[in-house]
Amino acid sequence: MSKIHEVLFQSKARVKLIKFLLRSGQEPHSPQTIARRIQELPSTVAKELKNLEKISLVKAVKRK
Amino acid sequence: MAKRKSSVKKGKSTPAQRVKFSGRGKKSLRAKISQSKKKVKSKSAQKRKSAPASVKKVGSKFAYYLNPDFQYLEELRSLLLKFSETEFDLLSRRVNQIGRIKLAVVGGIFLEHKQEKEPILADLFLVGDDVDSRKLRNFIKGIEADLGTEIKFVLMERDEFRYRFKMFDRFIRVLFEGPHKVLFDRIGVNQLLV
Repeated sequence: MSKIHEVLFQSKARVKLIKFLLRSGQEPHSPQTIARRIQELPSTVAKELKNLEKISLVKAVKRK
Repeated sequence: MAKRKSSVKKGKSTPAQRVKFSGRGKKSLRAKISQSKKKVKSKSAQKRKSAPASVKKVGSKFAYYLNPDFQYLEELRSLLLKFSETEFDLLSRRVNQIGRIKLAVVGGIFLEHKQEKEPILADLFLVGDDVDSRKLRNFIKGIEADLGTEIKFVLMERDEFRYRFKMFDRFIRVLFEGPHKVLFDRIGVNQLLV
């Protein structure tokens, strides 16, 4: 929503993704679900999630 | 994702092609069939075999969740989840685009109200007429995408709001007594409240 966040984080999708993760707590979500909820492309979301996993902001679990 | 889409298209393309050819001329179709009947059959059989495999592959194998031990978690939270005045301005501008909105009140998630005492009745409360339902739906979808969560919103027509306001309706009372912020007010509720 805010331009400041977009410029700071260099991407609108990344801001939305982190906001979503902060609000959704410990419940694991698939990249597809997240993409639908934040209205971004699944490929973008998957890429960003992998980046965030590298800095251990997110954790990954295997889906059943 | 892309794989599933393409496989579905391919599967449907054979009957679609048939219709197309019959429209253009049966001769070409017959010629094509006789030429490559076996080929077509084998191709479609291959597709049928490959279809379930591609369905299985759809989507990521992983699900992701927030690491609760991330070192800057609280900093991120206060940086990203806090609403500034400029954001409220932007929000009221967007609210104005969906119809003749007379009153807009935010609460709950917009004010970082934590569910301590009372459950949140509404995050966004709008009073107005002539609201385009499609615009409203897109507006809510956009807001939910920006916030990263679902919101509770209430839309009321002006007459209903007046009626409820006069009869000290519980919903209206709790909303205005609890933590809330008026984005804009063209009805003059604040004067009535005093």
